[in-house]
Amino acid sequence: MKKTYYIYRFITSLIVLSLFSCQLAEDLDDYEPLNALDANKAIVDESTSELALAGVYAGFHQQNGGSGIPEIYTIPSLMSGTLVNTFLFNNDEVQGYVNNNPLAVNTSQGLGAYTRMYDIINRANWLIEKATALTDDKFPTAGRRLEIIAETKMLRATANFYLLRLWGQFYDLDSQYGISIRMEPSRSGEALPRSTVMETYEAILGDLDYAIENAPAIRPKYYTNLVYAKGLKSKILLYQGKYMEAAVLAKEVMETSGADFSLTPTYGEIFLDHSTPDLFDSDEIVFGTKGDPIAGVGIGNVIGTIFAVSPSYISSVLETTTVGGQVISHDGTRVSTTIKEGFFGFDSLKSNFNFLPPENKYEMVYHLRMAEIYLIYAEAHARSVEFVSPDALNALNAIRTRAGATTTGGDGFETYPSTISLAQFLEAVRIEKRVELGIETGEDWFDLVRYHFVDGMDITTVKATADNPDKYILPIDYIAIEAGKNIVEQNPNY
Amino acid sequence: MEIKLSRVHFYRGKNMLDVIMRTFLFFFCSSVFGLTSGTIFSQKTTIEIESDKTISIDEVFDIIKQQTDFNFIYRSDMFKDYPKVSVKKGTIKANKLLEKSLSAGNFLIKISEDNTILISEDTHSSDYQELKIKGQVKDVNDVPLPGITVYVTSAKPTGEKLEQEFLLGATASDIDGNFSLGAKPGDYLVATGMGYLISVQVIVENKEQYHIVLKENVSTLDEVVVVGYGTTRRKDLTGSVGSLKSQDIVQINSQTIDQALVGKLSGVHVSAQSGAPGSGAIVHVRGLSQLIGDNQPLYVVDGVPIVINPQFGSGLGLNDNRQNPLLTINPADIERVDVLKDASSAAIYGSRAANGVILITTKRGKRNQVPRFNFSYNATMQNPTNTFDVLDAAGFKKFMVEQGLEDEVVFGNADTDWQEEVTNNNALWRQYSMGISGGSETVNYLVSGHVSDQEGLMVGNKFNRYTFSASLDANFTKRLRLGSSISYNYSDNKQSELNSLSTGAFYRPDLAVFNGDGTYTSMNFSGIDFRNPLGDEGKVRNKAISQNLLGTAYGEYQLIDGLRFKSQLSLNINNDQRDVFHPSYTRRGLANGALLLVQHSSGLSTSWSNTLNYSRTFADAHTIDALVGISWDHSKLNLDSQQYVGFPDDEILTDINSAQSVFDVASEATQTALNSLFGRLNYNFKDRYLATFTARYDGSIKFGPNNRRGFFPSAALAWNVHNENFLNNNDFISQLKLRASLGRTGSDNLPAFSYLVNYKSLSGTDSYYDGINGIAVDGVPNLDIRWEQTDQLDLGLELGLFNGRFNAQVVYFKKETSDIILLVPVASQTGYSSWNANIADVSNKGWELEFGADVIRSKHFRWNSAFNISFIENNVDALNNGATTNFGSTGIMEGQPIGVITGYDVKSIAQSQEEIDALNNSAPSGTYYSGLTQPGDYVYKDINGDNEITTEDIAPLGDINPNYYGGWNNSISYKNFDFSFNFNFVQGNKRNWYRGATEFLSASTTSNVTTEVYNTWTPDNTGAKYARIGSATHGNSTTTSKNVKAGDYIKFRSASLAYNFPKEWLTNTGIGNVKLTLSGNNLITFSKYPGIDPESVESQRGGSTVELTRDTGVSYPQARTFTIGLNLSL
Repeated sequence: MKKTYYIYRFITSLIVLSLFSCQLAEDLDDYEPLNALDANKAIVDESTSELALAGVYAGFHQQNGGSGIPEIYTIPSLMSGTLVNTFLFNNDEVQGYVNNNPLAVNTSQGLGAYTRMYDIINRANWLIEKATALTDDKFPTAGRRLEIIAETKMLRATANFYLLRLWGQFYDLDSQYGISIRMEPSRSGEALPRSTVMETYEAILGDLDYAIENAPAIRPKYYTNLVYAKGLKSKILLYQGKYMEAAVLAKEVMETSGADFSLTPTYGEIFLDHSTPDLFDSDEIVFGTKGDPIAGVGIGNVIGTIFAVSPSYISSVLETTTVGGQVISHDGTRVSTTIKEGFFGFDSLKSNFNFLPPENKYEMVYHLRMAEIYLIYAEAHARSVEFVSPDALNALNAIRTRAGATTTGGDGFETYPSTISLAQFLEAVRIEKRVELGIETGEDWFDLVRYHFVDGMDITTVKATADNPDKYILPIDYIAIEAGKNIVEQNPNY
Repeated sequence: MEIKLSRVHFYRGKNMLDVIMRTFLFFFCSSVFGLTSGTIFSQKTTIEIESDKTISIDEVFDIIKQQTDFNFIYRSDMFKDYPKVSVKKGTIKANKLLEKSLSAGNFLIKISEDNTILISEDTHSSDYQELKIKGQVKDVNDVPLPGITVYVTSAKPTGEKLEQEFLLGATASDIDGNFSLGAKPGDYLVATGMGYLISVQVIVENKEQYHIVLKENVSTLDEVVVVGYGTTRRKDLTGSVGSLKSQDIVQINSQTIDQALVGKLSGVHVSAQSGAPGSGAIVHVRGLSQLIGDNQPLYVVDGVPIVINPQFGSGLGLNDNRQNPLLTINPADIERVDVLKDASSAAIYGSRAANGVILITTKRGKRNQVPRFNFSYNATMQNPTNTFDVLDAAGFKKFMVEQGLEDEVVFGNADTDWQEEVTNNNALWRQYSMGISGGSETVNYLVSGHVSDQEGLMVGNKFNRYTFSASLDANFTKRLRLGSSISYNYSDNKQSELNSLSTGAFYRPDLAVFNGDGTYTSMNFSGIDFRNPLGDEGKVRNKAISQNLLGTAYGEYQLIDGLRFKSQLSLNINNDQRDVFHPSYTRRGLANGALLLVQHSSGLSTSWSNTLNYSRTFADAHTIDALVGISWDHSKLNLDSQQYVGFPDDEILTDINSAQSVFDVASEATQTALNSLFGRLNYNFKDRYLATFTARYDGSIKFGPNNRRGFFPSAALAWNVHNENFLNNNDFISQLKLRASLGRTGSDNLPAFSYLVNYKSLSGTDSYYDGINGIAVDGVPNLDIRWEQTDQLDLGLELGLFNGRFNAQVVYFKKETSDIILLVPVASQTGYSSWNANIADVSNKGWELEFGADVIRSKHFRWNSAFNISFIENNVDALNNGATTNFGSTGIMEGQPIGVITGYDVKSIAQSQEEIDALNNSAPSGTYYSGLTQPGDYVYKDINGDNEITTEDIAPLGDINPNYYGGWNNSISYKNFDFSFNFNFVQGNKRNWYRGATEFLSASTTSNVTTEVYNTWTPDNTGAKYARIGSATHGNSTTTSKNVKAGDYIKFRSASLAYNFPKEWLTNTGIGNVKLTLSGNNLITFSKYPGIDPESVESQRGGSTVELTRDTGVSYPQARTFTIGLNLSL
């Protein structure tokens, strides 16, 4: 009896044991998510890296699942007064931007833009970490691994830069109010404290220097490239006040990048035909985010509807500067030919996304184009040598000439003469950027802030409500600060 | 039925013969697997003797009783003066001990079904015997009942208790239900059996043949209740478990079981999801606690967990229109339903039990039963319970004239009742069932098949269903039992897009269905002719095929006496395929050509549980029933959908291969995996004090690494006061039980792996760039994510009076749910502004009252009436900045119940321009409210007192939770007639009657209106209920109190009358039993709700409870049904 009993027990145990190792009794750790790759195992070779890279680029699109783009470009334009909100969109938050008194809590646009930039940074961090850990033999295309890392680092630098200039005291290299620099993927909800402004710049330049070493010389213009790395670096050096370095690098971009990176003959051709992807082939573009029929960038959706080009901006570009008795108009037709009056106000033709006839299915975010490089050079060189060099003047006038300025020496839309004073020249460059780059990424606002802190410029002469320098940068939404356990320090006076 | 006879001490010492009847009859009957006590008084049952001693027979019986599950029944004076027995220290087999003890007499020993050992003297020696009677015990269906205790007594039994002093002889019925006994005229012949009502007949002279028909006892405390991973008896319960048996289930004519629970159980609120064939019900057990998603309980069918709405984060899973997964099981195949309501009963299901658990047990064959063939046919006529009260053609024309629109419309000459046109008159539903069941001593089996052919209420709707089920249980050896069951469902649900009465009701009544040339009439919008509903929506072909398979297999092995090991493997497969074809001439086809939408879902759930069960009584006082188990549960659901456009043909070439192009391709998958340890300990001291402890330890792929495993304990105590000496044998109080339980359950209402970072193609084009569908990380991982936790207190009092003739139960419960998952802000430098986190708190508390009475208890006439009512209060205690969506939390507000409706409170209707001017003048902005422009507009109440209406004046106006609900259920039997009727009621729930808010926004030449139009404000009708036609204040964007309507109702839910053909009619026909039934459902509704039905709701995305707040009038209508049924068995 006893023997039988033990035999029974043995067999039962055996059956139970065999079952334990089967699918039915799988250990929890053996389950894998469905239709999703573990982020730690997703990037294994060139093709998966390319897919992940597309995912990083896509971060600069308008997203279905959240805000942030185009807000990152529209908020500075609202603060500088080149854009206004329309009656369709008039909440407290947008009034805060328009009146240069941004809200510090319950923001949707502000928090969205802040979060979106970090989303791009997070996407980039994952790819950088994983691609760095791979070996070159996983990449059939020679050198592609480092190129991908370089492209990604440029995107991360771009997002960090956009964060710094809206939420950090980018104008003060000694300020503690930089942004939180995240170089690792987000693996938990933990928040990191803010870095100083200097540390932030160092992080951005670190990425760009890597890119200058490793980036592809050229790809289609909606991909980051070597010229973008240099161009963006020169812009950042300008922001840092390192004018000589900025000028040298800008000059290098202007002179050594080849015909693919040059000023186009006309201004209008950069923007006006949105019906074909030829828009992206322009030599003018250094880097732009591509918006196509499947995924738009969003600027065209909001300008002309909830936002409109400010009438005061349109009239201000017609003002003049008198140099040695010569009355020089700031703009000829650049602004007037890139706007259109619509039901909600003035629409911008620079981003004109529309499925209805006329079908305008292509648009882009002009992150950097050659005209800006010229103007960076003009300003940086003038500031570095503290007089208006012919080179600097030529760079400024090249932009004006391309826009149709004449050189008769008379009044009107003319090039600036060499008699222009340094102060007038710097102001002329600022105004030129406001005209040339208006309603693109909001660069004119950051110029105002820089000029305020560098030259003591009174911004209220351009934007009457911008009277509080602490409000030249945005507050970090308090809800986000609290969610991060108050590790992030708020900007002063918010 | 408890018989405590072995305590009687009477001795008798003479005339004892030498021979022992060595025949023991064992009726090891297991009507449903797992219900058996499992103990066989077999060769293996051993008794331990502590020391050498000489004891009386009664003491022998006591010892056996203490160490086994057996009771003894014998004539009161049988062992008076009988010689004592000497026993030796050690172990002895029970049968040997009995043999030894009774060796001095001639006894007949039998064992009844409920483990009662009946001892009678050999009939030859009985001196009181005058009459030898015999007969047969059967149930109401004429099935012989073996193992029933049959005895003769000289005193008429007064209740369920046996008067032992007057017992004259006893036996148990044999396998064919036959018995024989000695008796005297004037004595009483009594038959009792577990689960049956006692039967008493007077023995008369010259009658030897007695037929006993036992009726099932529906309210017995001995009822076996199914609890998680086992069973118990109702009298041993310490928690709150509501039960329904098959005869209650069939009263509601439904394709799925969920509908049948309506009004039957306290604490269980059931409302119809839709009147469409095959659609489910919304079942809420003890209030609401989940803020995102549904609040439906966990269903467990024969051990297989079924989740009605698996939690998807977003996308296809949220909007997918799957068939009701409960279609897996046909209500006719269900033996019983047990609802675990409190923590003591539900906590054994741990992290899935917070919304209650509904255990469904399917029918199985009975042991020792000759094969029985059963056939039934039901024919049901269905009609809508209600229709919209819309204007007829003349009324519509008059209305157009009044609105000055007569020039914009060319009236037709017809007067069409479009609701009549879009519905099937007397829609017919035919059901055929047949089955064979039976069993031998060691095997029982059941096979059944059903065919159902249901025409829906709406034109184009046809629901065909085939189900098949089979089960088998076999005792391989005395220790090993094996069994298996399988259920298969195939249903084919054809619908058009006519799926609500409003599709027809609001069409122009002056238009006919057909033009003179036989084409469909149409209306022209922007130059395009749109056909009328019958020609358009009616031509859409929506076909959903659902295939479900549920199978279980188990083995049970008795290791030693009282210790059993059971291993059960279950699986459930669900496959749904839906094709919706919109022909080119329909509304959606006119834009891009014919359109085909294809949706497919396939799911697999497996569950493997292994339990070890030990039950034993020690020292005749301490009963322990312990269970430990380990289980693995896994389920997976894959969904995909595509849209195809451009077909060469609208009828035949409609397959996907014929399509020009495909777009909107989507897929989604979800899975769960749960590995668990669980246990339960029941302790029972002399049936007086009961204690239950349960615990479950769940690990889940849904829980973050910091909370990988959850522990869910519960404890419960009960005191059977009626078993205390001071109440024992009390004629007034037959039962008084006090019970209390406290415990913790959870809800794993979250997608799996949300704590991992994954790379995937993001939805929409969020990871698309330059023609490349890229991949990106999809979130920041919350490593702390875990179950939502519910702590529940349950205090109950159960009362039985007058021998159980009146029963009452009063229960108070309090549920506190914490750690409810919401979207919560996260440090946005992670790249995300919110994540799912355990943050919110909700509480429910309430009372459940049940009263039941046998209003009439006589031989031919019996009326049982049961009433239940539940009061529940729900409150969202804290949201802690969490929200249900990125765009806020509709229907959720801190300090208000879940499903709160917010909006403007209408103060009055403005009667004059002066009144409006005065309001505007005192408003700070110069405008009181932009919509208030003319007399006849609503004036909203200024809640915050700032003299104008802003969003700050939006206030709670009601919520979806009833203040109380319940039911009144009756069953009456009179001779061969059975009659039952049920009412249920709901009070205090509110709903946003959105159709009412939009109906009078403007007058339109294209749609009809309800007669409420006569109740709108005009200068001549200033006392009207509603604002003027065309007013902007009706509340289409923000609800107004005018449209927040009470969903109160009382429904005469069902009634049925059954007639059992007298046996005499059937002699020589070969037919055992014939039953004819007439029944009706949804007979009368008493409600002031303005919609079609106070239960009408729209389909909710992902089952989301808060979406129950709104009724736009487009739900599928409920049916009033009349059924004629025939049931015959051979």
